[in-house]
Amino acid sequence: MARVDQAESEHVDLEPARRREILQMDEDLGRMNHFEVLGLPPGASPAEVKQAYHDASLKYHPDRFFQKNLGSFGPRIARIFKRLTEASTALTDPEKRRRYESLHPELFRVATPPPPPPEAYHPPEPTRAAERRARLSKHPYLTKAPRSAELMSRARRLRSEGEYDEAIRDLQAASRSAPQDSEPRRMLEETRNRQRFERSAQELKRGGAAEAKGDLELAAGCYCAAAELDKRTPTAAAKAARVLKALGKDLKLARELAERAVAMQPLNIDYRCLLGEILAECGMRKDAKAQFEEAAKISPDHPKVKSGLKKARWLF
Amino acid sequence: MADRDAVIGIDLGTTNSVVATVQGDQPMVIRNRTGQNLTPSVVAISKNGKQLVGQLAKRQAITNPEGTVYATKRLIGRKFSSEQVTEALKVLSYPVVCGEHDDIRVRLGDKDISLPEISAKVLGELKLDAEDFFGQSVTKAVITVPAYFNDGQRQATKDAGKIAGLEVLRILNEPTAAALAYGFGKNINGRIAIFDLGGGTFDISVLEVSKGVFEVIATGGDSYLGGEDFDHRILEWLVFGFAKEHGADLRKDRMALQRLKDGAEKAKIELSEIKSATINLPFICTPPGGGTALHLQRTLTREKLEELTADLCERTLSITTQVLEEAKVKPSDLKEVILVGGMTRMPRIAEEVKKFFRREPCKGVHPEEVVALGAAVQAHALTSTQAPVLLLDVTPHSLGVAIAGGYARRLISKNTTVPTSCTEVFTTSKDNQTTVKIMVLQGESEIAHENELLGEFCLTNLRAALRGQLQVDVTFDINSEGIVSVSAKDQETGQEASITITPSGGLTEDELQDIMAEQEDLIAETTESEDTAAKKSELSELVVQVEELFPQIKEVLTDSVFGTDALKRVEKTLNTARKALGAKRAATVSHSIDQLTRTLQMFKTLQERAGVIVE
Repeated sequence: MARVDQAESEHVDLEPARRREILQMDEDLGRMNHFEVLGLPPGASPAEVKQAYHDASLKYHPDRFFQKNLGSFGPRIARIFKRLTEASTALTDPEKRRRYESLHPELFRVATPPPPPPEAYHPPEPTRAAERRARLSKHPYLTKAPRSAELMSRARRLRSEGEYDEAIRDLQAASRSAPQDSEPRRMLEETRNRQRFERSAQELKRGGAAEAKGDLELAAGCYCAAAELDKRTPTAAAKAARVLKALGKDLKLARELAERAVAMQPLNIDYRCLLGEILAECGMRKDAKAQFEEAAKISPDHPKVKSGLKKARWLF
Repeated sequence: MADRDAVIGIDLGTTNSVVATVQGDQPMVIRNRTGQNLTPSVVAISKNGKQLVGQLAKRQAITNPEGTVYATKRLIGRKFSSEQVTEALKVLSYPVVCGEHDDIRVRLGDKDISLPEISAKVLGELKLDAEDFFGQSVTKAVITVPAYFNDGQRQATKDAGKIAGLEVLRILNEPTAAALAYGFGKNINGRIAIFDLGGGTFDISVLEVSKGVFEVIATGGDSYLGGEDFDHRILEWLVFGFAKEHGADLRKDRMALQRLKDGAEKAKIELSEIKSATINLPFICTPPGGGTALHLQRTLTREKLEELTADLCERTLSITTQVLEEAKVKPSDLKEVILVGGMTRMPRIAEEVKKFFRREPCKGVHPEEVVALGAAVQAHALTSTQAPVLLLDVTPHSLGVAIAGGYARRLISKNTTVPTSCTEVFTTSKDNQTTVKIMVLQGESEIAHENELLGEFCLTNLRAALRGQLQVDVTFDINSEGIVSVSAKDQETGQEASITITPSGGLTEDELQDIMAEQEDLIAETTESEDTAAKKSELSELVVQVEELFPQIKEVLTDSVFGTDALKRVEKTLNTARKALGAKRAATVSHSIDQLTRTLQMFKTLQERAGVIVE
């Protein structure tokens, strides 16, 4: 703080208000994330980032202070501008943005606003509803309705027995026969998902068995399939990434899978380390280092973190 | 406003240079003293030892090929031994020798002159034009260079500015300057591309512009691709055609070479307007076996020119593709494509650019003047308090250090906005390694020696430890002037070593100082030379007169009381006058004239009196 006081009383070509602003910004740099540096809400779009960066540049680019007596403010301004550039690049370059997201998923959660609630359903007035029903009862299509209900109940039964394929077939028929009814479609979707998760679990099991037997190729195939089928949980993705890395094959896919796992569980130290190791193997040492550093924040003494950080250095 | 220093922007081109300034918030070109906007970047020493710059120098090039220096921009800041230079020297009509540090020197008369000095003469000429325009001295300037120039070339250009007596506020990239001039005063928002094919170099830059902020997204180019190469293709075509017909190699004759070069350039320019041009060079040489002189006359069509230069055109497009990729921009994302440089007047180039970007390129700018205007805008923006524009420029080359195994590790990649800095941790590769040598590299290659070495330094006396145990932080920093500094720090002991890269543009600091001191003399000499010459002859006449009268006066004076003292003074005055005859400064000469005139006056009075006495 003493240095700041000193800086405030320095003889430089800057207005007192401007000085305080620069001092404050410089002070805060370390604490702020990329969005905060640019004065943006978390998850701001690349276009917003660019605009904010340009606006901030007008305030902090060293050329705005060309040949002015700046004293200790010179380095401060340079530092602020560099930080602004760093934030802007990290958030506008798609590749870098994705990476920053995998490091700090919490900053992007809010990025996609929740879908607007479905329009409230206004039940028709009772008299009009009765009239409508009477009119519809004369319609020939309506005779299909009981059939649809029958199909639905059979599908439910089949589904509970694990006969997903047949349940899906019934549900498809039901939604065809009653296209205006959303229930069969919703259920169809749900059943398909359930089937996928079930299959994913099976693939995962198969992969586990293959890995135990030492057949890494098969295990990788199974895990990848499992990860593809079930995108809700990080387990399969992480396992697939780990085996792919062990095989040294398809590192790009491995990286993506590991990134997905990290994005879903940012605080899982194993996932972070795995991603770091894969990045290192891809030759992206800088990114690897960033991951390990992030991991070190969670658990600095983890052996994997330590060895990872060590490997991320360069040899002279 | 009036007492603010006048600032200028200079486009120091391969073939032509332009100077501009901002007046009343509008950038404008300053005409040279012959009334032209463009000043040829040509310097010559005529047969009678007179120095010529610009149009005058260019005009006498054909008759004085060995004393006329042109296109030095293609050589400046390069190593004499480099491949491009060796290649370029084959077609130069003026003699070039190797300097002390593998730099390039031009042999003019009996002197070897460095390239920054040559460029300084052109800059000095433009400076004088500007001073003429403002009616006051001008010292502050922004000078442009091709975006793809490396550090050495930039530094050499800066040196040239210093030698010319200019304070170089900034070395600015040409395409960026063009963008500034294009966007100045307009309300542009969006991405623009600048396609700059000049006399010697090709540059392509993509910028994002919003509310007066010009952010360079990516830049690239080739500093050996420009109008000169197109001329050279025509020249070769002429030479080979001639050799086939007459069996004589015209390139052996410097004068013929200069005429061919001239003819080729003229034909190329004509072909931008018309479909075919005739190159007519009578008495170009005498045949090998003797006999009557041979004439060269050939007709070049636009199609033939396009055929001869198809690969050059292709190269510009492949670089463009690459830069757009780096910028992550599709041609359809661009708001405008701006053509810069005289070569973009060639219909084929304009057509290919149009095809590539799928749009009509912008015609609103003058391709040869826009760069200087942009430089003036930047000079104005830097020095005025309420600048309407801000430029966010990038580093055009990657920077890194050499690591174990002869590889290069990139710390700052190209197209990074400056100022910037980057730190990375390095470690030792051998047990008990106590020294690390940090070699700072510029370039894109993974292999260390394929990059340009900017400088090197050592971090010594490290703690003896097993390999991989020591941690050394290496920090790169580029400030907004583009100056690179590198530091290394032992994490454990805090021991540090660092350098600021001042790449020699071929000249060491001492040499630069010497040249500048010499230059001061030279400036005094050249500006006052005619005046001085007249005064010197006046002085020498006076000396003769005084010397003639001296014996008589001596006789008269020895009798008088104050005589001896006066005689001594006269002798002293005569000595200074004789020395002044050899001096360069006009002031010294005038001073002696004054003194001697007074002496002569005194002599005459004495003589009269003595005459009276004698009579």
